[in-house]
Amino acid sequence: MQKITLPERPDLKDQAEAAGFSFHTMHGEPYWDETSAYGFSLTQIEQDLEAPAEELHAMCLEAVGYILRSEPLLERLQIPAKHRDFVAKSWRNQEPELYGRFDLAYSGEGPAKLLEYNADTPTSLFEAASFQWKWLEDMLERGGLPEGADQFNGLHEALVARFAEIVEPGTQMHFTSVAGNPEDYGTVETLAWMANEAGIVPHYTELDKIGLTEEGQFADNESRVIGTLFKLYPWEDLLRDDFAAHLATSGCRFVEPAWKALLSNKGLLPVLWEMFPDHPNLLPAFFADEIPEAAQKLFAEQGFVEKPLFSREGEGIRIHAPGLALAADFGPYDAHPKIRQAYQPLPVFDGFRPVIGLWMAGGSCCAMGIREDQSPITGNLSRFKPHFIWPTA
Amino acid sequence: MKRNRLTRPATIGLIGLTAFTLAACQEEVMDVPVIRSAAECTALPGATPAECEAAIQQAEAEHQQTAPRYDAKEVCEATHGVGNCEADQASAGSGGGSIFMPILMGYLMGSMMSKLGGGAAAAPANARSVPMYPGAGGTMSTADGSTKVSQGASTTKVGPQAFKAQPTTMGKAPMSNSTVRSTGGFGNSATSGGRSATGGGFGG
Repeated sequence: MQKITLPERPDLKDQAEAAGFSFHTMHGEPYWDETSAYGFSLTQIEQDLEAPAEELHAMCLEAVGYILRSEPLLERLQIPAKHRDFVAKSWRNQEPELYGRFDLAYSGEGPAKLLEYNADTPTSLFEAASFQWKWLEDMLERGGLPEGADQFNGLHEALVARFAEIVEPGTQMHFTSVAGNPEDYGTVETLAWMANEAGIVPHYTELDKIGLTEEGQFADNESRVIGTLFKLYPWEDLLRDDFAAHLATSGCRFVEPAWKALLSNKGLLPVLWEMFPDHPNLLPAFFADEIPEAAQKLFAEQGFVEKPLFSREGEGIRIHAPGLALAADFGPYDAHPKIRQAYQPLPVFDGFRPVIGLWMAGGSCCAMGIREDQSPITGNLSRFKPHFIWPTA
Repeated sequence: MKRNRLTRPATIGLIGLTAFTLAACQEEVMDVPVIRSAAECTALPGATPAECEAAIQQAEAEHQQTAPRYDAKEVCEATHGVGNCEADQASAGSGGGSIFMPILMGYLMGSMMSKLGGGAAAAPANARSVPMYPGAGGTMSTADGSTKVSQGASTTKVGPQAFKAQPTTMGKAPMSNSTVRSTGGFGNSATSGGRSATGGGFGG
């Protein structure tokens, strides 16, 4: 794994705008940054990233069953008591998942370590699946990368195939995201293209325009009943909204299914560590109020990161490590119970710290997207970096 | 294991354009005749009496299925005007008689569009005649209120949305003032204290 400097495509801005990639610059900073890229060997991709991600995914599915059998864990993960049956039923009925993204720390050597699992509402899909691939094609065509260079990126095809597996062709499927957020909308629309290719008929409605019919079904902004809904809105909030009481009775099928509430939750991290202690891709993790003595010692020596059960864009994350005390904006998430995870410093490349995002389509790992930040906490000023695989000799 | 990723098809489509099935507001707008009687229908250029009769019969049948229904005459008249409501004959026979529906005042003649050079808008899916009901201020509108015209209008501009099937109301609990649809029940984002109100996203 190296970071190499590369020329930015002269027509980058035009390409981004032509592609409707309106958030290539955010908060006054570049978000898409191709002035450098990360290069990997095929062995690194296959052995250190792809295979561990699929193993982590299988472990997470085991964890779902484990958590559902334990009321204390459901309490720990703050699953509202009145919706636990609904969540459990989605698992018993084997409601299929669509996608997810594991975020890992990896330096090119040694095992990649799981930082968290975006199992419910992962974004950066357009830039990972499409814009990143276009960059590779352009670079190869213009000689900016060696002939035979590749990319770990089957994301588009894998999600088209996954849609086809889990939703009948011809199904009218609604997609929703919060109004006024182009980044979230970009992910939702990218998914709609994929769904469309899988023979599904996609419709969009803003989240707050969803209504409840007199029969207790959900309806879109044109009063059409919603039968299948992809929601880029997290389960922890769906389960607490005014309409939560109607989730189970609406007859609506949700993608991701409700059991993803157990995985897109930082409480998953201590559960995995309890179930799979010393797994090479896991970091020691515990609920903040029950840290065993041995772990307290480890945390004192190596440092730890405290994370609220729910948070976004790094908010509420605090790092306590020797020589480093860093807290992101506490933000609104600070009131939630916390977990502590052993501190794994991110590698530093030219002053930036990359986090490896590994995309899952169902149980298959199909792509990588990298975001890097100058801060040890990856926040909303992070940049998306393209990657490539060196040609094998 | 060989990846051979370069066989991948072309880069996918663009953000913000047309992945989604188009919403009504972006669809073609067309001129559609509005009539109140068979005589007005046969006066339309090229319309035959048989066609007019068929279109009106179709709208009458739809009226029985999808007219707004109310559990009190006063409630119905509050929306549709005094003297514009009648007892639902279909429910009267089954011991009902306490359900009221507005009179069928006019017809949105989608079935006549092809005669008037309706172009692509005159697709078979739109070739329906839609019942219209009296409303406040000398207007009349479709059952869901989505298309509204003045009671004397002879044509109106609408999107294909105007011809979508209306929800059936027959045999269901009659609408009354207290059973309105609610919206806005999602998006309060409780775990972040209202992140959505600040334009924040929910992706991770």
